Amino acid sequence: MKNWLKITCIGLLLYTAVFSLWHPMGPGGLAVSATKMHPGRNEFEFKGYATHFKEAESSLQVFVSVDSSAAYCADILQVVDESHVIVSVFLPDTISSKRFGFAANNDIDGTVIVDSPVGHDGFEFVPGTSNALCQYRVNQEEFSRFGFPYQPIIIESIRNLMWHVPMWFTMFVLMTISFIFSIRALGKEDGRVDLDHDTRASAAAAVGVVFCVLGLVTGSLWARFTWGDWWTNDPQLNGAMVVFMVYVAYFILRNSTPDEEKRARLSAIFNIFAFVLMVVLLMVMPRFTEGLHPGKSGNPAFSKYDLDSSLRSVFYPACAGFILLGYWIYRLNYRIQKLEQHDETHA
Amino acid sequence: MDGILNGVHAYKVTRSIKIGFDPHGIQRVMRNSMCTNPSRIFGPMQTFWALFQKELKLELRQKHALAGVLLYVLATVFVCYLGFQQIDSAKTWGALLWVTGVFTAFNAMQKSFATESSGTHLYMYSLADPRAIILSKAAYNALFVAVLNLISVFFFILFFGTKPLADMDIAQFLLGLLLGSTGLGLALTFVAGIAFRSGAGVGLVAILGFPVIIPLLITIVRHTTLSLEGASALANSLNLVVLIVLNAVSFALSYLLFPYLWRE
Amino acid sequence: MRNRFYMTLALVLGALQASAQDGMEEYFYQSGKIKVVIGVAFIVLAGLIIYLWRLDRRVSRMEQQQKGAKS
Repeated sequence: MKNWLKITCIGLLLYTAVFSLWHPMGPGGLAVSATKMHPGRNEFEFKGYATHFKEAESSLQVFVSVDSSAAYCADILQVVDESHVIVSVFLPDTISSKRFGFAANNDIDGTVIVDSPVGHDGFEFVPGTSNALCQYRVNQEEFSRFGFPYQPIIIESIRNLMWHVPMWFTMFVLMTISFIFSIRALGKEDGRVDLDHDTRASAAAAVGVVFCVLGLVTGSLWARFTWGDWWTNDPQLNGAMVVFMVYVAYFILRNSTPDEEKRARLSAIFNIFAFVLMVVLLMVMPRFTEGLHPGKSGNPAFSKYDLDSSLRSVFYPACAGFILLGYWIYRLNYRIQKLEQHDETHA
Repeated sequence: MDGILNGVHAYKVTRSIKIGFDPHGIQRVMRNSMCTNPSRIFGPMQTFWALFQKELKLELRQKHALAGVLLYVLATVFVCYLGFQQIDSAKTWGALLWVTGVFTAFNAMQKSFATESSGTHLYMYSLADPRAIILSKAAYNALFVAVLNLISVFFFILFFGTKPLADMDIAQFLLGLLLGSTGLGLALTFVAGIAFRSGAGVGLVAILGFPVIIPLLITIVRHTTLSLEGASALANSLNLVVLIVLNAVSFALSYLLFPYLWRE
Repeated sequence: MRNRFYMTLALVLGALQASAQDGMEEYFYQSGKIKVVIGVAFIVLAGLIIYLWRLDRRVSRMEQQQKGAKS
């Protein structure tokens, strides 16, 4: 591996480490303290995340929206700090929709929304009545957004995107390398198997398995605090587990075949099978089945919403950095294996 | 007619090899086909058919092995019955059916290559196209697994009654059963071939085979459940497509890679 | 005596686990789940370092063999 590639790798990973952790979060609405809304005066606390309620106090507005057309402005605002404001809002007896939404708006953050269900009590439900008291402003694009996009539940852990997802990309690249060398190991003109290519294939697959394990473990941790369980029934997750098992089986096959030539031949064949299986499992099946990962059931890529420019500017370098790192480790592994083989034949 | 005759000869030849080396048999085959290169004695279809018949006859001849597999199916379903007593949901029924199916398939597969002595192998692979061998074995195993699955369906109905099958769409269910069985047959035959060649024994079939068939298993359980619940063909078409894709992938890979298995 | 020791151990572990469940939840949820990110980054680093450590050991073994062959 060329030195400039190693330096690029280190640079990219440093950039990833620094920016994925230090880049600020964009503003968002975290929660409201109210559990039930009723006609008349309602007082509750609006909690924002990474907002600037204090700094932009003069322009701050808080709304209770009933549907897209009707919103009620809070007339008393008491800013506690940058992310907490105690508001009081007067609601009429009749409402046009049973769903309440909460939003805050100021010059710096734009509109931040809390979209959690809140109960209600004592309202007369009359559809179609729109008695909005003030104009409801939801123009997020109006303000130049900074920081990683705020998403409910995920919040700061959006930064995991730069640590968890590149594991899979790296694994995929390493398995592809392994796959290509397996084909080349079999495809020699004289019908013999190329042992050197087989060594490369197994070295790449070994590092790929390491990244697969890292992806599984990090994914499990992230899932625990996003979806609530260490393991969820998601096609991507199950697929990744199967891929892990298939490649472990690949190494079991290698270790249980003593004859060198035969081992190379059999494991190359199995590796081709494993790679095709991996493509089916991680790229084909998740599109057919519903899951929790973003952009699934029909659209395997990240949607525009999931990956905005601030995320992308760190995510792509992170992927490139980890792929280079994976390649680097694979080269090391390969060279060590070669030396070991050399030692064995000369010992 | 010619094809069948050649097939019978091929069968006789492999049989004679099993019993002991019979030079007259080979000479007879050589004379009949008027061909000097032994690998070109039969056309691919004839070879395939001959080998398929050979598998079938080997199976039927080993009555105790066949009885063993049947007993295995019966015992598995009976254990399911003892554990569950009664199944109400189509989901459990389908999952149990395929768990039984998978274990039966493994059981059937482990003898697929093991029943042949290495001498037979060596001879057969110098005689026939390896593709014909894998295809005949896979086709035979797929058929065998399908029949065994049908038998286990019978046992399931016997023990659990027809309550979970009330809304069943029979055509879809049978199509799924067939595709699942062929998928299992194809993938496991290939894996059994690898395991057999590695010389590590039958244990390796399970180790290599289980991860390989999981995607197939997920899809087929889903397909069977939907067809038991009486879902429309459209709702189940996606599973069907995945099943066909998995079958096609297993078939293509077996066909392409099997010749490499037999090179020395 | 031994039995009672194990029972106490099991009880203590159980209690620890129960409190750890709540404590862990609280710990990871504070300040917008940033701890989850720290955990993930730590796992990645730790995993890679463990693997590199194993590679290093293989090199050491070869070095030792070389020394043995020379002397």
